[in-house]
Amino acid sequence: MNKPPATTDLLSEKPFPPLPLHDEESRQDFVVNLRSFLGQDVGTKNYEIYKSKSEPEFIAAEGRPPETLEDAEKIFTNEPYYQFWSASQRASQEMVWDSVMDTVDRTLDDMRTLAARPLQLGSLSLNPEAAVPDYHTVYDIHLQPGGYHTELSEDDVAAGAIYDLGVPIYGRRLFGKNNEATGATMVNYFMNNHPEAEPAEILDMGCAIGNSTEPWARAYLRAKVSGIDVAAPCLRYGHLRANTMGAALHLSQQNAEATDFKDNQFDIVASALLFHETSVTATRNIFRETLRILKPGGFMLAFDGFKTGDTELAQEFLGLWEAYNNNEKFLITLRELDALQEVKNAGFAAASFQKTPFITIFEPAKKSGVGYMSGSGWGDVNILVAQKSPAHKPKGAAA
Amino acid sequence: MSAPKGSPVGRVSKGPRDSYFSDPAIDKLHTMLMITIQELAVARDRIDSLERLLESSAVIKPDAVDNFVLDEKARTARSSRQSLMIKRIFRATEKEYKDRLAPVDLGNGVFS
Repeated sequence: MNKPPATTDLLSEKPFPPLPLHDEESRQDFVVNLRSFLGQDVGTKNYEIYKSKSEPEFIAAEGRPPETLEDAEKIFTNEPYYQFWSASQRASQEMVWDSVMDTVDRTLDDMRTLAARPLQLGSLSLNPEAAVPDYHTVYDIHLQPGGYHTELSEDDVAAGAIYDLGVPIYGRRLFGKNNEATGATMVNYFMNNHPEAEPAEILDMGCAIGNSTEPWARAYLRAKVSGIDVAAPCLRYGHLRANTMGAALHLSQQNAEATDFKDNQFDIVASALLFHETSVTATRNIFRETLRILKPGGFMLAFDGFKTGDTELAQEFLGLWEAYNNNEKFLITLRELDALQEVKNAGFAAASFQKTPFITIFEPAKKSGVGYMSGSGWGDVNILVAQKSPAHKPKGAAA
Repeated sequence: MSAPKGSPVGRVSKGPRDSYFSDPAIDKLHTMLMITIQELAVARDRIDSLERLLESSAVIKPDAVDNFVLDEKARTARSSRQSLMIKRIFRATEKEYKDRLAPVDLGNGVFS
């Protein structure tokens, strides 16, 4: 029997993630710089113009202040400055993907070859019968051509590679060295608030390429860490990626609405930017499924765009730019849901939003079987934290 | 290993694309201009790499530029130059922004 190749052997064959050639890198760098400028120097002026000009003009014309998102949309989309910024922002998002797809196209065969090798760490379980839900196929989320799920061969990894190379360009290279900011933020929160915890099983729902999953494995060295997603090409790529990083992740192709995990299996069920890419029905199903597979006393952590308090109309509209323009339409509806009430309706004992620093620098160090990490970042985010009652009994169970 | 080399899915995303300006042709011209600026930046970076390579060695191999590895200092210098270039091109919006907040004085009556 052939021994599977060690990570270092794999990496000596081909660079991974694939490296851009000169002009490819230059295009990618340009998009980073362009998006920084659009965000910091141009985008911020939309609000200023709204407050000093277009809102007073609306009030004068209509005899009332703007009240709804439709009012805000009407005001902004008729504002020439916003039009120019918005068109530029949209074009820059398209350029994100275009700039990395040259690199992926050129190296795709090498990556498919690497991913097809037997890999040592973790596991990969794909289900060719699994249906990709319509909330993923109706349009390409984030404008990534083909979305997360499109595969043109049974060993396709392109969507995962495009995502891996594209996310840092989108995030202006501020999402951590390994795109781990969302996962690292939740790990950091959990470690600081539950220093005594020794989770045995952790699940990351909607894990894509496992970039939000890997920090859990780095932090909890004794835990079995799993990730699920509906997108096979992302999982194939993620399995290879985890092996090159030395992380044992157990990835499987499953929809978070209904999984094959056992009742009471996990200590922690996390998700990073999952819910806003689903639907109302799916969100409710996922909350219920999470409760089922959590151990009594286990925690659900969700990093997403839930509404956590009142936001001024103009800021809310501007904050929803990606929902309107970047194929993330469900975010608008998600923010109309009372997420804490929904979580309680699903049967959780307690739910709250917890303010915690957004972690972009992630420095773990081994310490008695538990990782240690510190971080710094852009400021605070609110994550949804819910606990399954330690005395939880399923409905219909004998008392 | 049955799929052909290269990708597959094309470069256009599925889903709506609103028109941002009053005339959809402006949207297309705007996007084309953004990409043209990007290509200009790529060309300028390539020249920059050549200059750096020529400075360090008198002879360059045919693939020397493609395999040229940027160090952090060079990357920082490039980023600053690109940011200046982006700023220059976006002056078109700076005027719009200023004029919107403080309408231009047309000087009516000044010259009579």
